[in-house]
Amino acid sequence: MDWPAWILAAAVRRMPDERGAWGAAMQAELAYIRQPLKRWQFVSGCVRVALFPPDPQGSRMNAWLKHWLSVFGPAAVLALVFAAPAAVEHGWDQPIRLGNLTVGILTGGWLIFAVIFTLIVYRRPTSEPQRMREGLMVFGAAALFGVLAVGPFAFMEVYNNPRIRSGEFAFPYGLFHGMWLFPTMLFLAATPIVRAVRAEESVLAHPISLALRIALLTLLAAGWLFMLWDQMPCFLGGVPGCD
Amino acid sequence: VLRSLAEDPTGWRHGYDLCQQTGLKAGTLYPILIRLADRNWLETTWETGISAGRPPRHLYRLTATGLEQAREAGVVKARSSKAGRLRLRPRMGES
Repeated sequence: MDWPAWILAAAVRRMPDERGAWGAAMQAELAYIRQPLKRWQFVSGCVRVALFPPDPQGSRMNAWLKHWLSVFGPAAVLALVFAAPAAVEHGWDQPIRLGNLTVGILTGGWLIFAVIFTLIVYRRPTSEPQRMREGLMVFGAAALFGVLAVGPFAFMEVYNNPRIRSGEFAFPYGLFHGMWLFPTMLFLAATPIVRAVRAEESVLAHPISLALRIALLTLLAAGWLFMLWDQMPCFLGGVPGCD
Repeated sequence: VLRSLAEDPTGWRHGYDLCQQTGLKAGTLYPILIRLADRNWLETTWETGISAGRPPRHLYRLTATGLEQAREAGVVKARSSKAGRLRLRPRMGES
C-alpha cells in the first residue's frame, strides 16, 4: 500500500471546496516523486497545508491587522516615550491621577504620532511601505503584546483596590509603564529567532548573536517575573500601602 | 518563491520543482503559492499532453501583476534573466 498517498488523500478530503484544486495539485505532484524519504517529507508538509489551508478571510484580516498595527502601534510606543519625561518630572514614585499633564501628553502624543504614521505609510512610494510596514508592524505588535501582558494586572490593580476607584489613591502609571517595557522588549528581542524558525532557517547560523539574544531574553524574562512576583500581592489587593 | 518564479516569467513551473529550487518544504511553499494565487499574482493551470498512468500536474507562473510586484520587491534583476545564465560560448559580437 502506498501509505504517503493514502495519508495525503485522507487529509485532502478534509480540505474546503474552494481549496480542493490545491489538494489535487499536491496529490498529483506526489505521484511524480519516487524516492520514499522524499515522498514522506513532501507528504508531511502537504498534510499540514491540507489540514490548515490558508483562509482568504484570514489573509485579509492579517493585512488589515498589520496595517493598523503599523500605524497605531508605533504611535503608542512613541507617545509613551514622549510621556516619560513628564512622568519623570512628576516623580516615578508618585502615582499619577487621570486627567493630569502626563495623561494629556500621552493621549495627545498618541494622536499626533498616529496621524504622522498614517501620512508616512500612505505618502511613501509603493515599494517602500512594504518594507517599512513590516518593521513598523513588528514594533506595533510588540507594543500590543506589552499592553496585553500588562492589561490584566492593571485591571486587577484597579478592581482589587477600592481606594483607586474612589480616587483616594491614584493609578501607579509609572509602575505599569515599566512593566509594559519588559514584555515589549522581550517580543522585539525574540522576533528574529521566531522569524528564522518560521522561515526554516538555521538559528545556529550566528551562534554568538544567538547566545547574546538568549541572554537578553533570559534577563528580560527574569526582570518581568521578578517584578510580577514583587507586585503580585498589591495586584491582589491584600497588602495595604503597597510600594 | 517570487524570485524563482520571476526567473522565467513565461515558463510554467510545478510545485516540487519550486520546492527543490527554493529549498522550501511543501508545507511552506504551498501556502505561499495559495496566497499568491489569492492575490492574482499567480496564474495556475493543469498540465496537458501527459503520458497515461500519471495525473496531470498543477502548473504555476506569475501574472503581469505578480511580475510587477516582484519587480517592486526587487527580486527581479533589471536585465533579462537570460543574461545571468551560464553560456558555454559568447554571443555573436561579444569578445
